[in-house]
Amino acid sequence: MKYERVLRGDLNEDLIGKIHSILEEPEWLLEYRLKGLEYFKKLRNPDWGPNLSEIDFKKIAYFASPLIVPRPVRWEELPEFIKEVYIKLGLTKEYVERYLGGAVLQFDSSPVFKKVREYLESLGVIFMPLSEAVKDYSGLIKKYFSKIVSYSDNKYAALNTAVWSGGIFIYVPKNVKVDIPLHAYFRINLENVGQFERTLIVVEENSEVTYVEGCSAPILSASPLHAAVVEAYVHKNAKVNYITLQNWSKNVYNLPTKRAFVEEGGKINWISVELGGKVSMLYPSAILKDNAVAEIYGISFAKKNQIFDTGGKLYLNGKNARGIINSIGIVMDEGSKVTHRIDVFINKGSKNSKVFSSCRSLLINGETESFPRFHVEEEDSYYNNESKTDILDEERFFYLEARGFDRSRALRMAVLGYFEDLLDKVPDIYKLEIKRVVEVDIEKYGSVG
Amino acid sequence: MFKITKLNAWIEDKRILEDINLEVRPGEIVLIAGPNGSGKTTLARAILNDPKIKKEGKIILGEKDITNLPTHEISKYIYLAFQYPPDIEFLLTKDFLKEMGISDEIYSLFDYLSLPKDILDRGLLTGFSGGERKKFEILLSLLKDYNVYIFDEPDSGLDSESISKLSKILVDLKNKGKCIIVISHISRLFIDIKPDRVYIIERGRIKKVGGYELLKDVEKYEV
Repeated sequence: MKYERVLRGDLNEDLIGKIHSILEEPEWLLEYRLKGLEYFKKLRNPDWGPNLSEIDFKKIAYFASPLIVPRPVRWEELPEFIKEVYIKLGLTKEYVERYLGGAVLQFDSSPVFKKVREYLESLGVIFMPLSEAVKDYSGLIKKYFSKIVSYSDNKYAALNTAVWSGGIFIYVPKNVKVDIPLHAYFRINLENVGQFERTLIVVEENSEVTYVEGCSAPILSASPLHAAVVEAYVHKNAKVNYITLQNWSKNVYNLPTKRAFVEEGGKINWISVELGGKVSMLYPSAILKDNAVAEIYGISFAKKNQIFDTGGKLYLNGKNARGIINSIGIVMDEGSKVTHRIDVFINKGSKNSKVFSSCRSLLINGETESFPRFHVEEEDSYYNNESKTDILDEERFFYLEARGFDRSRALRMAVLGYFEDLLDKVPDIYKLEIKRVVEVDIEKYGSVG
Repeated sequence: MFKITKLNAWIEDKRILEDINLEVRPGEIVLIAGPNGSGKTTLARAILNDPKIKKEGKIILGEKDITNLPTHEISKYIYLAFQYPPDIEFLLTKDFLKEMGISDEIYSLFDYLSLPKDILDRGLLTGFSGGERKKFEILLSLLKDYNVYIFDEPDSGLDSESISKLSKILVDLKNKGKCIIVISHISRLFIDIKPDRVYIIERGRIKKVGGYELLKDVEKYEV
């Protein structure tokens, strides 16, 4: 990696300046970083939701070498969607294993990754680290950077703007449907799992892209705070699928801000599977213009002492806009908690717009609650929310065990069945990976619980 | 042979069963009767090793001590038709049956028990009438081969046609040499078939053991 330094301590202009100069960024970015710092100091922690007062900002590593994600090197270990990319590009199992096996350091120059890169280049797609893109495509990035998630949006978006490093930039030109999913896996230097990573996706008119972040293996974190920002600009009639598998180690506060701006007729799908972390606050959001569509699907799997505060936010600013938010919680143990939080703003002029939301929890042990809120300024609109808690208690376990299911099989059947409907909204190839990731988690649970 | 010796059971430190001795030979139907709250259901659940019941004593199936096997292991040998099976709304009945490894043979049984097929698309035991619950529990007993069958109040809420079908099912199981335990206080079930032995439980103890003539006493216990 290019940088091996760690910067900690008091967050001040001096430290921001150091990050800026280490990364050799264009001048305009420093202004954003300093604005971020200003708002980070000005803004308070939210006075609702999980307790964040234990975060000790003096102990955070604000800048560090990006983390290395464990990478599968055997064909069998690869997620289905990655295998499918190789198959599509005409690479065989033997070829992939020959060039990936053990050669971790040369990943990016390996023929396998070169093939992926060449394919994307042939489409005119840019897929690279954001911190490099700000140098190569300064003008393009400046047009979108911090425009969808402002540095003043919330304390942690401000912090990210001040200290961000790592993360990716995706640009898809007009009329291009990228038919392979993009994943940091395809480039060694795209370590998108830094503490303060920043992602910017710009998809031009009539184009389409799918981005998958995270992986099924638990990711050890050097720092207990992860505050990412994801901005997606979806132009007219374009489409973005953004799929997250979050599996941070159990000490992490995960406080990302994810938002899409969706132009006329465009579509954003946010799909999140939350497995890791100690406290997670995640509300993917979308600003919708005429005929734009947002679908926000989340599965939170809360085990011992994990707290997930999650749901989605929609701002309907156009006619015939459509939104769906489905938030599912699986609440496993004492001390675990899932809070569903839905915020929908149906603004004046968004005539004939419709929003459907649901908050469902499968409660085994722990706590769950729902806060759906609708702020409606346009009468010619429709919205509906369903909140429901289903209980899998000892009596139900006993019944299933009396029918021959051991506890972990009963759990697996109940949990996988619980979000089956939601998975039907996800393309098959990711469905398999999501199921697999959750199954691994349940198995682990079954063996200790 | 299915045999229970010196079984004592507690729920949250409250003694529910005291010194229960009971046996069922292959091809026998045993009736357990007694007033509500006498411990009949606790006995059935203790046999399946319900973790919330603490117990002492032995439960032997053939040569095997199954007293402390996990419930899902015991369920390979013993089928318990629940008195009040819980509803599990989020688990579709058809998915549950599929996971149990049950095939299409089930459809004819739905007709036989006049159980509506639309329950397949409903949550497990969700929105079932009292009679449908009982029939569903009976239906599950027919889908696999067990050594011991326990029916906990299988006939309450059943119409007379269904009761005579259940009675026929019991005869079939008896003829196959199964051990059958019926917990009931209604004798309608025993018009065509007589239990081989009747145990009367009161306040957690076996009060009387005897033949069918004891049923006259059972009538007395009806609530």
